[in-house]
Amino acid sequence: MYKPLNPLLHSELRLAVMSILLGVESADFVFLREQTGATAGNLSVQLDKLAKAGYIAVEKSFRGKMPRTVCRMTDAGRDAFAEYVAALETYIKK
Amino acid sequence: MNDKNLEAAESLALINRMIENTRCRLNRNSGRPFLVWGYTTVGISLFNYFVNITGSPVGWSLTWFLIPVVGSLTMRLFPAKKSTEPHTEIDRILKAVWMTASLALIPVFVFTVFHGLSYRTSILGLITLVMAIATAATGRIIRSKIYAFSGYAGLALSMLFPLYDRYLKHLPAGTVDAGMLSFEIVIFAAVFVVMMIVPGHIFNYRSKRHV
Repeated sequence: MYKPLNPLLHSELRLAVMSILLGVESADFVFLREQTGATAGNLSVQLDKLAKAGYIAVEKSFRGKMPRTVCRMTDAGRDAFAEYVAALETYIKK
Repeated sequence: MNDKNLEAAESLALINRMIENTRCRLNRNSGRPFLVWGYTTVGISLFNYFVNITGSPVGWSLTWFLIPVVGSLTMRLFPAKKSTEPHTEIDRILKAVWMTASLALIPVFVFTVFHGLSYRTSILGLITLVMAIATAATGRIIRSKIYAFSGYAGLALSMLFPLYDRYLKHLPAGTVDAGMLSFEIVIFAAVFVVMMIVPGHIFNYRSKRHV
């Protein structure tokens, strides 16, 4: 039986962001943009969706005079990611 | 990359690719701290060796304290990671390991300078031992055979200091000169080449090849 896939994670850019955040304590917006190759505007929109779902925490601060956005995966995000991967496996095994 | 939906297989491939890319990116320049501290230690050690064998004033030995100064400044000027690159839990653990090892050098220094006048342990041997422990621990934590092996090699090579001392003690009286006594510094520099410089270059070469 196929398990339903979390629609919030089943999108290329949001899944890429979550996969990157899985392996680090936190990641800078610039790093996420470089790793995903997404535009700043699109990435910003997708980060906002993940933050609203409680999957990531976004902290905005300043380094000197430069604004800085740092994202980290929350416990809810880790759980959702684990469930998503478990659901994916049911599709692969069939 | 955009917000299109993926097939199940594509999703798994994307997850793998992103995790692998991030790991490779974070490995880039990981050998730099070893190279910076290795070259700084070796350079200043050899400088002190030449100062000793040329019979220069004892005050020049204060240049040993340039190792933490030069090393720290170089690391600030050429950090292994850009300020936008993320830190992992392993980075935090390694920082704690090296911080503890560096702090351990303070009592090592105090012991060797103030602990007894007739019986003094070798400060260079103890420093090598502490740094070898930290290097081997780094290798085990990041699962790098290069660092683990060089750390264990450093542990083994630290035995050269007491062995060399023993060799000098058995020479006929009056045959041991300043050059022979200072040769311990050359051993120290050579161990740091094996323990830090060589593995640092190998690690950087391998991580560049993977990017």
